[in-house]
Amino acid sequence: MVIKKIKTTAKDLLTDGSVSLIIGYGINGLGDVTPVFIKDPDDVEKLVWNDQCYYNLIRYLSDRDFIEQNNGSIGIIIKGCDQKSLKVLLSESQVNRDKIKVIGVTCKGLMDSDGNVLAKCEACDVVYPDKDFCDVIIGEEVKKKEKEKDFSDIDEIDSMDLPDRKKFWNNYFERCLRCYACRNICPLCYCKECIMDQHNPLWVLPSASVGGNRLFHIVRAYHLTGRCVDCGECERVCPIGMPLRKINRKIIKVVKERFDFESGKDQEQKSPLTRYRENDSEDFII
Amino acid sequence: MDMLILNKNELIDNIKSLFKDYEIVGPSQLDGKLYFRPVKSMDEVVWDFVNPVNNIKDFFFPPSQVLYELRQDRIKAFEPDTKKKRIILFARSCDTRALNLLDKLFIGNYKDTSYTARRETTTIIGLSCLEPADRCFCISLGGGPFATKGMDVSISPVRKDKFLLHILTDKGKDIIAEQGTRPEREELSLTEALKQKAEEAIKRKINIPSDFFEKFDSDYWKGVSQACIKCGICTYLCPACHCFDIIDEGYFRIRCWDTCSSDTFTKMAAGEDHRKQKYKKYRQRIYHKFQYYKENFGEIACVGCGRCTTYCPVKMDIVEIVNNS
Repeated sequence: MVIKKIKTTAKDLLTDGSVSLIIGYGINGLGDVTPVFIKDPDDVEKLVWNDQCYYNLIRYLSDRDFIEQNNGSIGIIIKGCDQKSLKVLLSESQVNRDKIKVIGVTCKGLMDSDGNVLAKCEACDVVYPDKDFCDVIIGEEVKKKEKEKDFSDIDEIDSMDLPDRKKFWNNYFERCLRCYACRNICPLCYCKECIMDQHNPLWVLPSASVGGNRLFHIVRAYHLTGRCVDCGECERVCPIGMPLRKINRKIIKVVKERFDFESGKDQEQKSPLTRYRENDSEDFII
Repeated sequence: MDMLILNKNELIDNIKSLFKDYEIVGPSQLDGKLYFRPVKSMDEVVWDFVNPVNNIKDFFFPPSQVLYELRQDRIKAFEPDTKKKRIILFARSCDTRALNLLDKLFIGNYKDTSYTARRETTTIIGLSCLEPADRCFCISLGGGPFATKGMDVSISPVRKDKFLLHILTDKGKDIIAEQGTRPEREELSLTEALKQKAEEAIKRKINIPSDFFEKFDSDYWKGVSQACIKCGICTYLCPACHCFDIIDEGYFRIRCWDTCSSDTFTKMAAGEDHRKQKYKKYRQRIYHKFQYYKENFGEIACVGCGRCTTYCPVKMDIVEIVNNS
């Protein structure tokens, strides 16, 4: 049983001192899955594994304050989608690979509260995390399916004329509360001081106005160009249901077309916008 | 306090007649989620729900409002548009109780002009809660699914197509037409039975320890705040949270919502910040609600609606965290 193996793996890593902290999935008072942080080997009983383990726990590894407070080794439970964001963090030298133990688990797909498989899971091509990347791998081996990415919903929006497209997006930008949950849950949004929090100079209007909201989301998407792995967490957490994945996937589509690059596959490869190559295509400006 | 019985069609007709003179805000669907928002007809209004994503504070203390425009030669103050009176339809007792909590601050020693103006021109029609959710814990904070505090009119079900209305204020009297029948004893007991059933369905209880203040320095807060990602969802969706920032955008001075979880909230001039660590920010939110507001205004600033836990990106459970402290 997967959960039994997760618990014994976590317990072993804590007792033999390989790690001083395990980040995994637990349950809150309401019975909902929540991130859990375990230091005591006996507390591994708190760990769970089911189709509601939404959280991309890699987010805690890019949190500098969190890492500073936990200066020992960290054991972390990841799904295939989470693994991609870890690879990007490694390519950006944000995580010390020697100080973490990666516990990869096969994920057959997450379900929402109505019992439907999440959209991002239907398009998943990493059911089974990489054996040679993880320190421990749990769950049945599933052969990797090279799925052609489906951008038909992006094409649908691209085919709208501009007034309709504006109406589509303003429906959300008008209601965005600027809670920054999308930014804060993203493992790749780790700037020490976000451009949105700078008031001197002021770059983007801080209040929840349509113009300010639009600019925030465009700026954030651009700062993720060539980096976002479409883990889908931003869209999951948005309280107004903004289809944030569409914004990021539009850019993922363009990056694939222009640079033939997909983030999160190889931790040695940096994002095209963070490195220069002499043979970079020069027939466009991004 | 007047009570009357209306059947569903009579109630709908009564509300329909109000669309002419009032802006009506009610629970309606948008992109698969439920929100309190202005509606154009009763067809848009949902009757069967737990609670919308947002709460009614949005209509008295909006996410962002222009206070005034400053130019070299003049200042133009922005008054809230209160020419058109408003009705908020089908608000739950948790949200209306929270509004009374906010009144203590916004219409207290100093009257906030725009909040006060919006309060005076808005009438609230509440709807009793038949099926509370697992997340609800209003009873342990002095509320209840059939409570009426903060409502001008309350609607409680008698049967599927029959409702008992309590007209609680003069504003409420103005909007309910002279019709319907006086409640019979049998009808009152049917409603009472539904009330008992709803109250029994609320199993969740928050239990603030009597020595809560002494727990401030405990390491407990470091542990429970680890998952928090410091967004603003709990504060922005909370009907009782009310912190705000005043910012200048070009020529406009604007008041907008602020959250104690953000990195900029406690930052002061010269960059001083005495709540840099995340656990201090989380502890601040808990203590403001369950300790300081009570000290300052006599009541705990939480109504047990459960939105904070439901919409928290990492499902931090406020009841579990307070009870275990």
